[in-house]
Amino acid sequence: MMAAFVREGIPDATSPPPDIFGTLTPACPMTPLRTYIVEDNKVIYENLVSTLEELANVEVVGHASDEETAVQWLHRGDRFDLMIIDIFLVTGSGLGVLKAAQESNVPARRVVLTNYATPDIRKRCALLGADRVFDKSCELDDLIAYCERISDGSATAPGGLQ
Amino acid sequence: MPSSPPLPRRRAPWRTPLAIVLAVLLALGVLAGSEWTYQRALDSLANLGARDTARNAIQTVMRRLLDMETAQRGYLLTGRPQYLDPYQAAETDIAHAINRLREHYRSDPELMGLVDRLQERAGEKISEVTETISLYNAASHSAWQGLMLTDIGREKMEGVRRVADVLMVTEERRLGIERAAIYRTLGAGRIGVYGLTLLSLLAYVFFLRKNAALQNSQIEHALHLQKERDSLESQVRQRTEELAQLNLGLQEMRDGERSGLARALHDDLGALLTTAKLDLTRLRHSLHTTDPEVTERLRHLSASLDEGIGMKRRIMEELMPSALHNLGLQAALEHRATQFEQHTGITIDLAFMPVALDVPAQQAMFAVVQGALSNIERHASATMVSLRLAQEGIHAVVEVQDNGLGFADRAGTTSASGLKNLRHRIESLGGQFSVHSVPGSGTRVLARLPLRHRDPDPSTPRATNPS
Repeated sequence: MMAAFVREGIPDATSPPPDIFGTLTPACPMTPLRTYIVEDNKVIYENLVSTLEELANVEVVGHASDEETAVQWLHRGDRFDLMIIDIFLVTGSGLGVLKAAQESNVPARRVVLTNYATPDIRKRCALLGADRVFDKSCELDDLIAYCERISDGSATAPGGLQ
Repeated sequence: MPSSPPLPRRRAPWRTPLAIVLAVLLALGVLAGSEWTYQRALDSLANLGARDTARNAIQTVMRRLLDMETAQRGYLLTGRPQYLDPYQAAETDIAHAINRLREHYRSDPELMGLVDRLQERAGEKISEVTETISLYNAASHSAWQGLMLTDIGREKMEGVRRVADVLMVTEERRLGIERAAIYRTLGAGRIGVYGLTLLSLLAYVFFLRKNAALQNSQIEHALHLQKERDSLESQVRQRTEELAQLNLGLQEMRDGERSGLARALHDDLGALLTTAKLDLTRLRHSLHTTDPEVTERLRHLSASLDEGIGMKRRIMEELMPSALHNLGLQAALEHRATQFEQHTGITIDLAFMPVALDVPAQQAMFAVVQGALSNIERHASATMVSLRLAQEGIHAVVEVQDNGLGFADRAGTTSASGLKNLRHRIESLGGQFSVHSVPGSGTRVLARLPLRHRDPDPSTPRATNPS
């Protein structure tokens, strides 16, 4: 378990982070990536927002810490490009948010950022229409890279970016 | 423990010695009374017989004298000697009768005197008859006729009759007295029997009453003992229930503490470590360095943070499976099954139905599966495991079955004590727990808990089931 974790925990040892000095720099003034974040931990939320804004041209358009608020926001129909969802919330769960988004055919990408990225959860999230699942501890770089690639147009359609 | 109050001693002092003495006295009384009556009656009857004999003797004397007189007259008139036969027999009979009377009256001087006079008078009559017959035989007919005409014979006969009458009357009177004595004796005997019968009845009633009282006291004693036993049993039940409640409370407290600790680890330490990771990412992006040493330091820092996060996760999972807390029992069981499969290489056959259980029940069910799977990992050498979660009536059922070694009785082992704890935990929540194990044929662990109507509690995580 430990060995497996350490191996997973250092992805950049075997595969370097995606082009830090090239695409990651917000060189061109592109339209920012309108992002809605579902995260119940205030500290993580604040740090995540500042990191994403700094590194990935992300503009946070809304925030919820429980399933109900997130689903209500979804039903308002505001336009957005990306939704970052935590699975464990104050009440309800991120799975419920994914399901609501799937049911209302939201065109934006949905990604899951969780501490509980088990194979089972990955499978369930994929079934509920999540584009990607990122582990909160060891896949933050991947999330940032992913956001960059959406905002710089490397990926043009939801689900097309792997 | 309350000591039992001393039982009342119901043995009255009358019971043994006095009752026996009374019974013996009563029996002796019955014996003595009947014996006395019998003896008195026997004596009286003997006396009556004797008096009859005496009366017969008197009458014999009279009859023989009359026979003698008749014989005298017949002989004197006819001169035929055959008339003398009764005369001769009469003399002997009279002597015998007188002797019987003497025998009878030997203790009575007064009557003895009368017998003497009777004998005297009879003797005079006999000598008168003898005289006339002698004169007739001597052919001095005028002499015997003269003697006859003097009326001396009739006078002598009259004298005998008077004495005999006195004797007869005396005998009659005494006979009356004897009869009265017999009647008195019989009457006394009768009254005695009545009295004794009454006494016996009274004693019997007394005995019955005392016996009933004794039985009542025995029943009372038995009831008292029963009551005491019931009270003890109820105390034991109450204590057991209290202990079970206490245990349940402790279990809930322990689960609550573990859950709180896990939450603190997740919310605070987890957030801190994730923030550090985010900072590190930002740092790495903003440094623009190619210095291998700095890159290596950053990589090492990242690895250390990952290790910290991993450690936090393991501790958290051990404290409280986060899936159970956040995603519900089914997701937690699925996760645990996946872990089991990864560790052992044994495939678990899963059959899940959504069940509504409250948080302590979910935790208990998870603990059952956790315990069963741990046992299989450690002891069973199984190749097939099935895990079932289902709703049966008003119960939720979880069942873990394997085809491993099984066990007959591993009392005292850690597995046994673990099973005991699980049983206690399930039973204290109002459920049932059973383990069927046959050596060589695997083990089946089954827990059954009542379903709860789930309140729309906002703090309870909704277990979403994508299907």
